Amino acid sequence: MKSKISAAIKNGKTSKKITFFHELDNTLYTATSDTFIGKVYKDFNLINIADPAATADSAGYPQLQSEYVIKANPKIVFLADAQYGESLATLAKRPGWGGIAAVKNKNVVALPEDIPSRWGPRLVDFYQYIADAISKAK
Amino acid sequence: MIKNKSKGEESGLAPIWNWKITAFAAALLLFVGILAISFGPVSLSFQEIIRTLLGLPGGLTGQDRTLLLDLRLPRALLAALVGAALATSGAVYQTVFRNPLADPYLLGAAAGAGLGATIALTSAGADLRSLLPVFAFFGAISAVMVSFFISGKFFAEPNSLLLSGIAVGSFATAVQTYLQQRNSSSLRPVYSWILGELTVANWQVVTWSSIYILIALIILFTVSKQLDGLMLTDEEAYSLGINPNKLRVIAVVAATLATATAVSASGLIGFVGIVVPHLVRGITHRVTNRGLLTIALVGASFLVLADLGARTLLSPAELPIGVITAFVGAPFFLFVLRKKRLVSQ
Repeated sequence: MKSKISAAIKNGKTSKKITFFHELDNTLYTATSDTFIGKVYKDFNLINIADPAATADSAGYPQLQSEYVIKANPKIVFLADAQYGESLATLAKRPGWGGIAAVKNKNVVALPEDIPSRWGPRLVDFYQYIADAISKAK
Repeated sequence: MIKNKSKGEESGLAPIWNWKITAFAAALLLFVGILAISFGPVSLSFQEIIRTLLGLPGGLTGQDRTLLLDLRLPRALLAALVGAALATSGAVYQTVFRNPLADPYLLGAAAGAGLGATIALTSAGADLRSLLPVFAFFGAISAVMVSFFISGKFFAEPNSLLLSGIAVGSFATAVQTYLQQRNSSSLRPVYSWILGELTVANWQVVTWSSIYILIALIILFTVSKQLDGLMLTDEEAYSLGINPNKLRVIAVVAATLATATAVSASGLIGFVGIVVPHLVRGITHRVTNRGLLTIALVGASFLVLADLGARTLLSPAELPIGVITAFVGAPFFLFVLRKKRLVSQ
């Protein structure tokens, strides 16, 4: 497991400034780099657009404003709410979201329900999903 | 009911309602509205915002225009609609039930809507989630209808309706809590909905909610003059040519329609329905329902302002609006209450 994770990190780790948004639900709750999920992304040197809101929630799960996400213009969007019907198509329909780089370049990753929220052996898959998305964003 | 006479009323000189106050409230709403769309995590030029709104050349373009017209504007409008609906319904319920503590959620509308929303969020199917407003709407309406049905003689006895509303509300809350416990994964979305949120605002929500809310408000404004008759005994009301039972049914149905729509569009936003009517009555020293339009305008301004706080205090994160309405509303309300007591002493 350890070697698979380091292989994924090696593949995906980037020195380019790639921003991302990890969506927990369609009211834009997210996870900052202080959380376990956030630390996984940090292993890849990705920039979490939720970090300026880190002080808003001590547990690291603030709710962002749509306006802010649009302006932050993330290059990748990870959908932890894909099983609730969110997808590239529904994102594109939200007002103003069509201009977000991730939506424009179709780099929206629909994570299966268990990957980002049930940690364990599936963590390897989570790393792999991120590595794939980064190679697409580069 | 608050009985508070100003010196003018005692001498019989002052009019029942001063329309200058209404005009002031309208100006306040306009000011607060412009303030609300001018601030947000992204700073936009104030001059360009005004130019865009008036359709003049040199306004915002591209993404900034979308932010203003498709995000901030519908959100401010929804806040205004919901605020007006809750404040007006609260004032009407207080008159109908002759109870200063009555609020729009009294007849089980809140608990019913909460149950509807929880059913939508906890059901296994993913599709129901998008139908949350519909579920909340019908939950609210059916809870109030059940309250009506149980109380039997409708309005012959306002207190029995009030009590059955409380019982129905408790029942709906019990079922809702049970569903929530059985589906703990839905705890966060349910909780955040209960605290109230305007984050979902878009033109579609504004359009359908404005239809129902405006119809309800127009009905209430039309009967506002007669509503004052409900402050008297039923015999006195009859002698004024008012049919109190019929009027109560009209008033409660319209107020419930407005409340159910507001709840389904934005979750449970507390305190507006109680505080705003008393605030307007306290400041103007008038209890008449001719002030209903002013109460609507002040309710709208209050919620637009509270939403501005919800968006900016933790920016770029959100704060649930229900937290702000109670945190700001409660102390201000106590201040007005205390001042009023000092005046009447």
